[in-house]
Amino acid sequence: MHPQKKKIYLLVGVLAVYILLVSTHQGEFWPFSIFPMYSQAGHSWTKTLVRDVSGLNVDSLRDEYDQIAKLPGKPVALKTVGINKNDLSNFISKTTSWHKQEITELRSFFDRILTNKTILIYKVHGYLKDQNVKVSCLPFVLLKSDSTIFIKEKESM
Amino acid sequence: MKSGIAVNTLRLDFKEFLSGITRLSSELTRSVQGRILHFRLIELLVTSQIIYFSWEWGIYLPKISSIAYPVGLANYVDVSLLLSFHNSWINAGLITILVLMGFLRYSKYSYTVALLFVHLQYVARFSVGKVGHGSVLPGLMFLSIALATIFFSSEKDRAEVGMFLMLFFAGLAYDAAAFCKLFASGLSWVQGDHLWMWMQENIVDQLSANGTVHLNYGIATKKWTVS
Repeated sequence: MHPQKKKIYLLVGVLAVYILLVSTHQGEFWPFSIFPMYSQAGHSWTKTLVRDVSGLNVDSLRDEYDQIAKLPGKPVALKTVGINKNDLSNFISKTTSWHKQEITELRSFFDRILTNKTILIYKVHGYLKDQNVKVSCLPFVLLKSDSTIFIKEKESM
Repeated sequence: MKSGIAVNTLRLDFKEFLSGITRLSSELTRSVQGRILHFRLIELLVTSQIIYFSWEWGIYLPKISSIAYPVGLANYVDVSLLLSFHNSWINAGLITILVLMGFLRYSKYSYTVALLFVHLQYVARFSVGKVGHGSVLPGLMFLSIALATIFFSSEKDRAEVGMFLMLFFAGLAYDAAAFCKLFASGLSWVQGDHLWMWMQENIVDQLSANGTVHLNYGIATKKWTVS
């Protein structure tokens, strides 16, 4: 085959595979991607923050906060625990029903520190209101060495 | 004041470095041998990145306990075998050997097999809910090199086709990104609200990862810290 023809066939072939794979896999099939996260620009988002609340009373941890600096306890830096921040926040935001398997998966993130610490995972919701960025921090789940307590979630989240 | 001078010097040096690279690239692409050397240098950069990602994901994989949200080929084949310590490291080792074989031209198929193994490493690593995008461009470039190596036998053609495919697919991917943004936001896509939302999201990300947040990554003399 003539090299020029070969180049055109190759380009068209890969382009067809590219389009087929991204259109059937929500815009992502590594290494093909249409970078669908750009379509989220300006939309509200939900992330997680983890606090060390060892020694604090569970009943005092049910409040919602609109400022991160007011959260109770001390921050847990996920890097020091060996966890990727996106893995945790996406696992929590994508999981809608929490069965035994999901809870085991969640606890496995914190195996290293749950022996001597009680941690509280907050869902941090960011949104635009009157051209300002607002955040609301809702206590989601409390992880103790021997138990997992889900704190009631707000309907809007 | 001191740090300001240091930052300016750094910027100047980086600008000179970039201009040096551009001059070198343009000199190299004037002859066939130069174009081949240029392509091989880029190939070295891309293959090094692919090896780096394979090991980075391989080392992280044992921290994941199950494939919660399968992506790519993980939708069709069980990749949970890669979640164990030995298997993810063996896969990274195999990828390294295959990539080296490809670079040294021992086999024209080794890059393609390596690409398949890297894909498996990727889908296992990003099975927790979020996919990584930093590896998309190196992945597309690696695919371009692998295809050029399989379908063309002379180094001249490989360099020409490989460079063409790399530039074409990088351009296509980022154009698609721009269209995604336009479709989602419409003509008001440039409004600053989106940037503020992104900045606040990144502040929360940094807080989550590090426990504190330092704007400008510590270059600024005044740090704003929240913990």
